[in-house]
Amino acid sequence: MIPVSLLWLIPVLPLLGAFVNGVFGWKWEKDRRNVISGVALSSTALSMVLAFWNIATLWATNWGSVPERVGNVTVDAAHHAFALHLAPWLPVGDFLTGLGGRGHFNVEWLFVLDPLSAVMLFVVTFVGFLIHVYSVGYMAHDQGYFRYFAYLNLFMAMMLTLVLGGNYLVMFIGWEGVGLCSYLLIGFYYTKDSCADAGKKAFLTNRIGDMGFAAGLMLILYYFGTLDMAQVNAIAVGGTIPPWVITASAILLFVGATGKSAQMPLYVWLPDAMAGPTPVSALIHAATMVTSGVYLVARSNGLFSMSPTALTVVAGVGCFTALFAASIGLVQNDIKKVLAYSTVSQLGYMFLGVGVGAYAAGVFHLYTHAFFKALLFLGSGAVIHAMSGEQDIRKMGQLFQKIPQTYRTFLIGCIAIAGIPLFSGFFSKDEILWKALTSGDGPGKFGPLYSKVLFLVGASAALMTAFYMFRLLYVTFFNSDRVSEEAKHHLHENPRVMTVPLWILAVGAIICGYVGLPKLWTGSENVWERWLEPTLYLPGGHGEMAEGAHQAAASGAEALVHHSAGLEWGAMGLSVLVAVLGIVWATLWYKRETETPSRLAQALSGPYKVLLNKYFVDEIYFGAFIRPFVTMSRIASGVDRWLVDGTVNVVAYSNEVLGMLLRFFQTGYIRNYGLFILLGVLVLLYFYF
Amino acid sequence: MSDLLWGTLPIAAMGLAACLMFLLAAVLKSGRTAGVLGILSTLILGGGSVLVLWSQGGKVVPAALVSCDKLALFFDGLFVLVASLVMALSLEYFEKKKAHHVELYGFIILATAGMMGLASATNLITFYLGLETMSLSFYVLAGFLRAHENSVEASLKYFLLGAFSSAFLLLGMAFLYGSSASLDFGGIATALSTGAIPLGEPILYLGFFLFLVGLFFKLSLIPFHFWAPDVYQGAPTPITALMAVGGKTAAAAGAIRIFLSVFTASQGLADKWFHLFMAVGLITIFVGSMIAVTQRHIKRLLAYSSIVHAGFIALGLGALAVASLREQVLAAVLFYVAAYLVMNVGAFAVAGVVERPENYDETLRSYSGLGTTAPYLAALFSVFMLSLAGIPLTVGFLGKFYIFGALVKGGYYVVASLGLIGAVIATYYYLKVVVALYFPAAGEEPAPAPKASWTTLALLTLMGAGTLYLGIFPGLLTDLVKGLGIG
Repeated sequence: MIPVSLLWLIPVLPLLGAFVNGVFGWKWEKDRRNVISGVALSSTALSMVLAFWNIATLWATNWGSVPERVGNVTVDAAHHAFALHLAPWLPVGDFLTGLGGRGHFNVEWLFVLDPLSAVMLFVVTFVGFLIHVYSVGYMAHDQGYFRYFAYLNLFMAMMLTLVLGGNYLVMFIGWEGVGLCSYLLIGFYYTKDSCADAGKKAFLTNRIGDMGFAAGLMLILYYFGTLDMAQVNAIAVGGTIPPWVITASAILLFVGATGKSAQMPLYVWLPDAMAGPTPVSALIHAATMVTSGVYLVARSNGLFSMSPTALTVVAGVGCFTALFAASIGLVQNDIKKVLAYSTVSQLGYMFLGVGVGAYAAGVFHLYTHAFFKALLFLGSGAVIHAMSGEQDIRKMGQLFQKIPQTYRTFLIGCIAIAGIPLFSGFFSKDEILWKALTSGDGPGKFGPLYSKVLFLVGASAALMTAFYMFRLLYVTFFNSDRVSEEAKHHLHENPRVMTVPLWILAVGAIICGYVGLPKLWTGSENVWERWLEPTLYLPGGHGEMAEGAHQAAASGAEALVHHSAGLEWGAMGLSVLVAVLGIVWATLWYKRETETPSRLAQALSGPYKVLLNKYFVDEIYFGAFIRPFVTMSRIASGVDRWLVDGTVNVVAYSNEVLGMLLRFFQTGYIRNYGLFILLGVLVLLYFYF
Repeated sequence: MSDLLWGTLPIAAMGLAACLMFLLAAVLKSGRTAGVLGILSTLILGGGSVLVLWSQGGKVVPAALVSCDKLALFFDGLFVLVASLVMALSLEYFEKKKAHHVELYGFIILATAGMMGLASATNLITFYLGLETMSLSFYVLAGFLRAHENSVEASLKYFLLGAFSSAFLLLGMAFLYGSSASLDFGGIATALSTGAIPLGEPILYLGFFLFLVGLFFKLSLIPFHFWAPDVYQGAPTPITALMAVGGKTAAAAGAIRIFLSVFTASQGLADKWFHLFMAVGLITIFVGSMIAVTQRHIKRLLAYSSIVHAGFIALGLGALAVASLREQVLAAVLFYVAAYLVMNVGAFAVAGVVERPENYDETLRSYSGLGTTAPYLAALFSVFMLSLAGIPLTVGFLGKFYIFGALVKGGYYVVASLGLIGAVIATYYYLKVVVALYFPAAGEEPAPAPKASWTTLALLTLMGAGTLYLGIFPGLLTDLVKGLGIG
């Protein structure tokens, strides 16, 4: 219980680090940069240690014999959740809900530690710490070192608030906070216009999503009468809320998730967000912040499970995004852009997972993805760092001898994301595809056709993923040597402070999947599913089912229809096959310099251009939304200039006129005031008596 | 000691401290020593008596001239706090201005005693006595920088307009007395509820109205605010903080007590109270914000800011007239004034630090770029500005939130929406200051870092921390104000 009562310190420690560096860092910027990184790293490390202590406590708790309340910590044994009631925040009181019940608008500082938030806590603090370490090397020569670490620590604080928040409003603070940090860090090199623009684009696109989120919160508060996430889930599965309310609030929350997690149609900001420093791309735009939409859906699983419509939308959007973004990734030439589209695509997989009701599988992919994608991004950063800032893979090649550490770790990342068995990505991706295939009679009630489509689209995206990742690998590290003389001169392996985090993540990318071995292999229950199972809210209420039925229902579709082991082996075989196929294909075309890709691009120049230009989505958005909006803004600005400013100016001007008038009567100043007061008295008298 | 004496203890203690300070002024040479003694005597005598009485649940004596219930003690505590803070800030400020006269602290303490009288008066005479004790001290304090023309002008202006408004107040009191044949709040209330009004209703209403005008003046509500920008700008900065925070809080305290113990007795007066406060409050918020937008001088901007805040307080005071909301609104107003104390004294303290010895106010230019030259001061000033604007996670947000929450709960959507729009306009000029702190205009050199003593910095840290702490964990304050009422 001691660590749980200290839960609040996990976000507060990095916040303190951000404060110290933000206020005093400028003094250390020039000659004592190790103080800055020391503050940032130690606050993150302390927070990580505290997080691990909490996770260990959660792991070791015997749920049969925990007291219901210890101090300000309450325990929900059925859902394996500790809730720290730190203090009241907005104690407003009771109100009448939309259904005529009693609502309680008493928002408190509530932090929740349960198996789901523990997973996020582990990912955010561990990967976050490694990226802090890596940044020490990566940012060593950059201006604004203190600013960078202050923002990075602030991000950690906000992300951890988002993860630990036990009600939607506390989560929302974190949600907006990470958006702000993302904006600040994308625009870190703000003197470059493209970076500042990318920051703005990310911020504005996210606003659209956040509006959905905020509207969802209002709807939930009005109908559910609370913003406490556990209560909302419990009420949702209780069956007293009309279905349209559940569907509407779930879809509004999902709109928020599409903004933050870069899904169709709001994904456009993420590729541009690559303008930020690469460690930021790894931490915020790959491993943690962008997955918070998935986390939101998994957190609100009771709500989503009750709405087949919402699940259909989530799965459909996720699946389509996975394919769409992967197809763009096939032809991109910027090393970070390829990874960015890959991230969008992988996030699509996660939404496919949670959308088919396999929340554990979706979160599993979130967790493995955090490792291999952070690894790949940091690897790309190492390549860029070694290449003195070059990002175009057409100007690389044959790098595997020059930077062998980076090459080896990058290779591990590629194998993991491609989905080769025994590497982490395989387990999570295969789990999602299998759950999609068998989702016909899951909580989404998709039916046989939709579930098969989801599976096949997901599998095709997996094929593309394997292809474009190995294309990236080959063109960068093999193929022909196209490195410029200038870059060759500076080409060097990176310092240890950068390669050690790479290796740690590489080991993680290999082994982290073993906590979720499929039942098919081991014969016993999937450990990962058993860990997350208590966080699921099932229709009909949690405690009301018999323990056995409950366990069976938790593992999704299997409870309702028994799928043959043969089918599962087949599906697994297919996902291995597409991965291998993608790799072989990339090997044939890109291992050595071949004519095939360019000839194909010429032959199919139309489709190639469409892909290269990302389906022209940015241009379409520009024409359809931004240009009309700018025109509207111009008109509004005209109104503002003439009407609003005019009014303000008139007020100011009349003040000045008054002032000038009063200056005539040096001693009359006070008399004037007296007169105004008298006038005021008379006017009020006239109106009221 | 009899209960009657106990009941006057805080006021008597502060009065005694003031007398001591004036006597010591004859022998003390150093303003600094006098200041330290003043702070100590305020904290020990004033703070001590408030704490002792609070722990006993207050002392209420029927038919006494003052009531020492927990509501009065809450305000007394605020006054002790603001007086101590102001005296501590004065130590550096008046030294810098080379006008560190030993009498200063006696007047500050005397003003505090007056505020306490106003907050606990249950009789028109004590009400007026408290008000004038406070005001007369303010007049003197405003002119304390004798070498500065603006300070003397502020003092005279405040005095003349104050006398003018006191005339309204006194006339109102006279009519109230004439209508009810009583000076005692309880007595007037009895007359109102039994309908025994010798001079007839029109005179009663006129008296009530003129009395309110006097209050509006002290609260600096538009159109009775004209004195405030000039006086706040010209007066020494810590004294401005005392007037803007202490003076207004005292006026609000007096208004709360007289309304709850007298005017609730007559439904007609309660309705008029509601409408007058709502109308004047909304006008104040809108007009005040619009004028504030055009200000370039920080103290003048803060003066308009304090006018606008008085507008929000007025909305809360008006809503007291709704019986079903009374308890919630009272708690909201008490929260608001406490919040206002922390953030506003902080803001004025920064203004005092940045002010150069030869100036009486600084333009935004002196603040531009302080984010790089004096990052800590700038960070604190930003916190105060954001809190005054009402940004979440600061105490200022919660103050507004509770008042609007009560209005919405009572179904006054129009008032709440208008108030919110006013709050949005107000955000603009606070953010303008924050922008100046961090983004100096193109080609402008950042302003040089002002000097601040460690005591001032420590106090600023305390207030900044309070602004944030109470904004994140308001439980401390909400528990304190819960269930307070007249005894």
